[in-house]
This record gives sequence, structure tokens and C-alpha cells, in this order.
Amino acid sequence: MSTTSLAIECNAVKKSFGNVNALKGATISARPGEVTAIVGDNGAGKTTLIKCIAGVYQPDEGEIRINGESVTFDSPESARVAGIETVYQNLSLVEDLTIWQNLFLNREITKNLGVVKILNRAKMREESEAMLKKLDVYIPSVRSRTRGLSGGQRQAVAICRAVGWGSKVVIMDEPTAALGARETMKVEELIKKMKAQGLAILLISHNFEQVLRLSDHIFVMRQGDVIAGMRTKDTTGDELVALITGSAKRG
Amino acid sequence: MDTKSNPGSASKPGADSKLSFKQRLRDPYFWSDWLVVVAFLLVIVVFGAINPSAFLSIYNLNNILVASAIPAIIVVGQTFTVATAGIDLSVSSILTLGAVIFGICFTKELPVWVCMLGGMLAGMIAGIINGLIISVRKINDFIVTLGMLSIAAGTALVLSNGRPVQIINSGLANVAINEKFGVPYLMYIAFAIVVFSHFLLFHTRFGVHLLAVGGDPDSARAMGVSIVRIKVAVYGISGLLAGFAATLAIARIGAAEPAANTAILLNSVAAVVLGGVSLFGGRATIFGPFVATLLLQALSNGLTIIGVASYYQYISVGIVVILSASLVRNVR
Amino acid sequence: MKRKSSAVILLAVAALTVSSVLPGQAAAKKKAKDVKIAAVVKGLDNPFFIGIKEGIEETALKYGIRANVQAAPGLNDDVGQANKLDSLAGQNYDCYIVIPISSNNLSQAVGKITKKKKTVINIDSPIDATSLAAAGGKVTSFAGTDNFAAGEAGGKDMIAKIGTGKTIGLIAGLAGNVTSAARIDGFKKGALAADPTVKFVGPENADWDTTKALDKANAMLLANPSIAAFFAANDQMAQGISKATNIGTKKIYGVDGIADALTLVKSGKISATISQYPYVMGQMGVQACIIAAQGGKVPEKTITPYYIIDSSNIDKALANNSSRGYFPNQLPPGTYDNPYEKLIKK
Repeated sequence: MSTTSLAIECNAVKKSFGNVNALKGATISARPGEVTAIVGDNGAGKTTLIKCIAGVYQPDEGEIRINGESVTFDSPESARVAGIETVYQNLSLVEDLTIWQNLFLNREITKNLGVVKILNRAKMREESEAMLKKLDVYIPSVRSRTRGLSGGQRQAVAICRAVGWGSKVVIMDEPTAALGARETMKVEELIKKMKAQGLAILLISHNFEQVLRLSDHIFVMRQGDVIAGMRTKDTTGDELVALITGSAKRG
Repeated sequence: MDTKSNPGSASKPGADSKLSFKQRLRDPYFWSDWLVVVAFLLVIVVFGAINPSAFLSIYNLNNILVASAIPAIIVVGQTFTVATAGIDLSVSSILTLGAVIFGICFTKELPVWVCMLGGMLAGMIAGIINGLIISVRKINDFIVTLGMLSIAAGTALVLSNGRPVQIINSGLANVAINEKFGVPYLMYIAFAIVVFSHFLLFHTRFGVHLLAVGGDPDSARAMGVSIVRIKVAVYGISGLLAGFAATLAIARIGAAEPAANTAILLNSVAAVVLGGVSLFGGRATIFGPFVATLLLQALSNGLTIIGVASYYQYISVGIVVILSASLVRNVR
Repeated sequence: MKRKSSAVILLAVAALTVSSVLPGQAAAKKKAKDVKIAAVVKGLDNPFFIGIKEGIEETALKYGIRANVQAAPGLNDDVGQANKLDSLAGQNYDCYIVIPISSNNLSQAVGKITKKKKTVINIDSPIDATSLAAAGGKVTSFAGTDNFAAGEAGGKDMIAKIGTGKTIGLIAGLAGNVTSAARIDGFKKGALAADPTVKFVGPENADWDTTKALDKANAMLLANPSIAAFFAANDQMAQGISKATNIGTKKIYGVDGIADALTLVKSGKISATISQYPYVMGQMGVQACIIAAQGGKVPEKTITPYYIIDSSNIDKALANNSSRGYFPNQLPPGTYDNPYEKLIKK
């Protein structure tokens, strides 16, 4: 595979917090139009890794490339500008804001009157509806508060927000952990749609069935290292369990 | 390192189906916004029934509006801080500090508008310091503004040497006394601030960010909203408004008083709660606390008019505050 | 306020036995019991103002009047107090008795009352004349104590008791409070006049509060063991000082003459209280109102009495029992001049 076909690469990324080496040189990559899963036990370093990619943490060592270009992010904002969006399992929408306000949070369309930035509400509502429609998400009104939405609806809104901003890479941290079976199915459909639109998706999930169902490529993390990477079609749930618990090794 | 699943954020089964059925309950806060209006009208009706000639006279309604103007301005600032899940306990002593600065400028024979700006600037600086300490050092709002309450009160005493400065200025006195179309000038000023603040909160980028920070600071931060900037801005605004209210207080009483008036603080917190603003942040209206201010002043005025002894007035006001707050809670 | 509804005016006229257009002449026929009196005092969390309230209410009752006495919402709520007076001004009282929280805060409200041609009687703390004039207000009569003189008398008396060359600890009320400053300044003047070598520690502000005064006194005694006596700007603080650890038999003087202080003077825990007579202020305020309503000439200014109550006259002071008890010595143990009483027409 040529480097340029990769949407994102992490090479030997290290990160420690005090004496804890959370990442000991993790290397992963993800292609556009594919779901790349990262699996591993609690504390394996998955979240630290994606937080490095999302600009929440700054790696101590190593390199992150987007479309082959080396990048450094000093904040989530700069990662977002570079086209990396994150959908957290619970840390995403402000319940007290309306759906359109959430979709446009910190990207508001405004008319500037001196220093006062006046919201163009009509335009944002209109575009919000378009953003939801793009992924066939149906919600009674973009004017309603997020608090009234079900978990699945919220996740759908969060996903639409991630997709709607011309992003290249969408990181999904346990996107269905808090959802019921039916809602999980809907979110999975959304993920497939995102994939069809050519996005690179990094999926963190504890649900092996989901990983096997959705992903094209899997990286296994253990104690701060990426210990295996393989095409999904070449592996099984049993093998993943063995790798995660450390009872098996694979190059 | 993995994010733990949070059961609190899981969907509430049935909640949305009920909401889609009853459109008017679509927003569960809708009624809490209107409760204060109902309570206000109730106060007017009750006192109006007991003593219509005195309570409902234009003279007296005018009195209620005059009395509400200064608290209303302070309440707007308080609403902003509470909407970010904070609180500004220093408003009353910042007002005093602003008044003292005004007094100092006035003694130096500076023009009144310079004195006014001086008071506002002092208030804003105190507020910005509040905001910076709260957001950068991540110290609880309650503690920081409690500290500022003391610091601003002390600074006011130091600067004034503990002595009031008499401020006799016909222009200022006119603002405090006169009216147009039956409404006192002071109320026009307060209402203009209320309307502008409503606009700021609901029609600007700043307002959305403010509510986002109040409702869910982690999510807001994840979307790149700067908590520091919002916190500094709201406390700065609260201080600025307190500094501005100082000018009106001076216009009202004709002197810059060095002793802090804590009644204004208690009143502002009560009005914000009565007005349906969530103390947990993220949920606010400007008009709710404004009507609540009118309610509290009408209540105090009405009790005085029907001759309820002062001791019982304290109790009555307390009961109304707690009762309304618990009603608001039930409605939610 | 000009456009009052006709109904209000009708009721107002009905409520008054006579029209109030020209109070000086028309109201002259008014009987004492028909005078409507409202009062706005300071916060009622201080026995002193309760004493005034009692004086107003009980004196009014003696003349068959039920006075409406209101207090500021809080001890420092200057604007709130102005609002209270505004609220009362909307009703047809003949006379308003006021004690301003600060020397300026009621000026505009009084101005409004003056415009309605109603009488204002100022008691206890004076309203500043300049600000009153600027607001177009007029005070018909003032009755209050001279806090400076009371302090001065206390200073002279204390030196006479402790001798010369001693150190005196001073504990003041709220920082920036005029009454406190007058009492402290007066005390210093009186003490220095009696003994130019006297030394002072403080004044420390204890915010009129018993506990705070106790803490301040402990700290002052620790830092200056040479302190021979204390002067506190009110009795509650004197009471606090009396509980200080190393107070021994040091002299303590307070001001006001509240019930607790008299008990402590009786038991010897504090040496003296420079007793003022809030009850008398309230009494004079009501009497001034009646004189004005009857169209009489009201004395412009009256200084109410103060007495130093110590072991020599405490029993006499305690004999003047109040019905409600905060100020047992409603009336001074000796004679005092009341220029108002004799002017009231029966």
C-alpha cells in the first residue's frame, strides 16, 4: 500500500502521564472509505491514542500524518481544522442547547456587527436540516432541545455534526455503548453511510461482534502498545480475545 | 484511560414519545418561565384587591418601577454568571466600589460621564479578575466571588476612607426622579439593558457559547469553546453592570456610600432563581429574572403599603422565594 | 405622579377629615388622634432602633394614633430604605418620621413628600441639608442625640475613673459609619481634654457586633497588655469586650443603654453605658408630627438627652421599665427638656 492512500497515520506515538507510560510507541493507520477498529482492554491506551489524534493530548514523541502530511495539533480546534472530528460516547452534545445550536457549536454562521457576532439562525436551521438529511437522520425539529432526544438520536446528531464539517477522519469512541439494540443498529447504519461517503473512520469498541461486523481493519492494543494489525476478514472473535488478553501473539 | 460509560446520559425511555405527543410540553422548561409572570400578576391582584387606591395608583406603580430599576440591572449580570453554572457574590460590594470610584472622580471635578465610566471600569476589572481566577486557576465561583466580596468592600473603604461623598448633580437627580409617559427614566435604562442582554444571550455567538459552557463545560471545551473567555466575559459583564448600577444608585441617593449593601446581592440571587434560571447552568432567560425583580419589589412595596410590620415582611419575602422556587422545581 | 386617578383623589379626600391642600391652615383643626403617621427607621436588628420604634408606637397610642412603623430591609440597604419611604409616600399620611441610613439616602424620597405638601420629621441621624435642598425636600423638625457630645462626656468620665497616663482601647462599629465615627472622635476629644498624655489603641472596627468585639478585644489585649480600659461605640460591643479573656477588672464603657448593658452595669461586668434615649426620640418625633398637623410652630432642632449610667444611678435607670424590654430605661433618670409636649393642643 502506498502512503498517500492513507487518510491518517500514527508512527511510534508515545505519551506518558508522570510515571505512567500510557502509549509506548503506537503505530496505526486508516484508509478513507474504511472503518478501522482499535480494540483492547481498559487501560490499553486506546483513548489516549485517539485523544492524541484529536488534539486533546500532545504526543511526547512520534508523528501523526494526515494524507501523508505531518501535522501537530495544539488543541482539539486545530485537529478539527485539519479535518479530524471526534464523536465521544457521552461527551458531545450540550443538552440545554437546541439541535441546530449543537450542530453549529463554535462554528456559528454569523453576521458581524463590530465585535458582536449576530447569529444567522434561519440559515443555521436550514443547514442543520440538510446535515441531518445527508445521513437520513430524522428528528422532529432542529429547534428542539437536545435534552429531549433519545441516546440514539443524540448520537446520530453528534455523528451528523462530525460528518457535516467536511472532515476526513471521524473518530468514534464507543459510539453505541450507551444505546439499546435498535438504536445501536441505527448508529451502525450511519457508520456504513459515512464509510460510503469516503470518510476514514476510527472506531473504538468493546463489542467484538460490532467490530467484526463494521470494520475493515483492526488494530489490537495492549499495555500502551499496538500488538497486532490485520484485515477484519482474516481474523475471528476468538483470536481478538486471545490477543487482547495476551494469551496469543500475532505480528 | 477509556471513557467510562455514563448511565446518566442514556436515553430516558418514554420521554420523547410523550414530548412528541404534547407539543406544548415539548420544552419542559416552558412553564417555569411563565410561573414568575403568573406569580407577579398574583401579587399585583392580591395587593390591588386589599388596597387598590394606594397600591394601584400611578404614583405607587411608578415607585415599584423606580425601586426595581437598580436591582434589575444587577440581576441581569447575575443571570449571566448563573447561566454558566456560576454565581457572583461580589455584585453588591462591586457596586459599592464603583460608587466610591465615581465619588473620587467627582471630588476631582471630573465630568459626570467620566466618573460613570470610572465606576464601570472598576467594576469590570473586578469582574474580570473574578473570571480569570475562576477559569484559569479553576477555583469554585462561590469562593472566588466571596473573596472578591470582601476585597471590593475593603478597597471601597480604603479608597473612601470610610466616608461617603455627597454627589449633587441635577442631571443625575433628574434621571432618578423624572419620568416619561408614566415610566421612570431609571426603568427605561434598566429595560434597555434587559433587552440588549436578551439579544446578547439568544441572538449572538457569545450567548450560545455561554449557555454551552454553563450546560456542559466538557462538551463545550471538546468543541473548542474557550471556557476561560466565557467565564471572564460573564464576570466582566456582571462587574460592569454593577459598576453602572453604582451610578444609578448615586443618582438615587445623592451620595457615594462606602458601606456595601448586601440586600442587593440577596435580591439578585432570589430573582435569578425565581426567574427560572437553572443554578446548574445552561438554562436561562433574561425576562424571567427581570419579572422576578418586579415581583420582589412589588411584594416589598405592597407589604409596606398594607402596613405589615417589618418583621413579617422578611418572613413573607422568604416564603415567596422558597415557594416559587419549589413550584418551579415541580413544574420541571 | 401628577396623574393620579380621580378615584384615588376622592378616596384620599374622604380619608382625611380636612383637605390637605394647605396643611398649615386647613389642618389646624385636626385632633391629635386623627393625625396619620408613618415612620421609616433603620434596620430592626439593632435594639436601639427597636427602642425608637417603641417610642413612636407607644407615644402614638397615647394620643390614640396607630403609627405605621417600617424599617429598611437591611441595616445597610440605603436604596431599599428609600424605596420603603417611597412606598409609604404614596399613601395619605400627614406626617413621616424618618431615620436615614446614610446622610443622603432619603433626600430624594423626602423631596417627593415635600412636593405633596406633607410633613417630614427627622430623628436620630440627620439628613444632610445640602442634599435635601438639592432634592427640594424639607424637614420640619429634627430630634436626635449629639453622638459626639455623648462620646466626649464618656471620655472625660473615663479619665476621671482610671486616672492619667493610661492606655485606652477603642472599638468602633462599621467602618465608614458616621455615628460610630462621631462617638469615637468625641470620646478621644473628651479623654484628651482631661488627660493630654492618654494613649489610644485602635479604633478597631467590630461592626457593632458582640462576637467580633470580643475577638478584637482579645487580640488588642494580647498585642497591648498595657490597655487599662475600653471604649466601645455601642453596648453590644462593650458586652463582647466584657467577655475577653484577660479583661480582669478593666473599665469598659459602651454607648446606647440597652437592656443587656444595664444588667451588666448592675452586675459590674461593664463599668458604664453612655445611655441615649431612643424612646425619647420616637416620642418627640410623634409629638412633632402632631404639632405640625395642628398647624403649630414646631421647634426646628432638639438635642435628645444622654446620661452616663454607672453603679451610682443604675438602680434608678432600671426602674423605668419598658413594656417590651429592650430599652428598660425608656426615659432618663433625671429631668430632660421636651419642647414638643407642651405645644400639643388637647
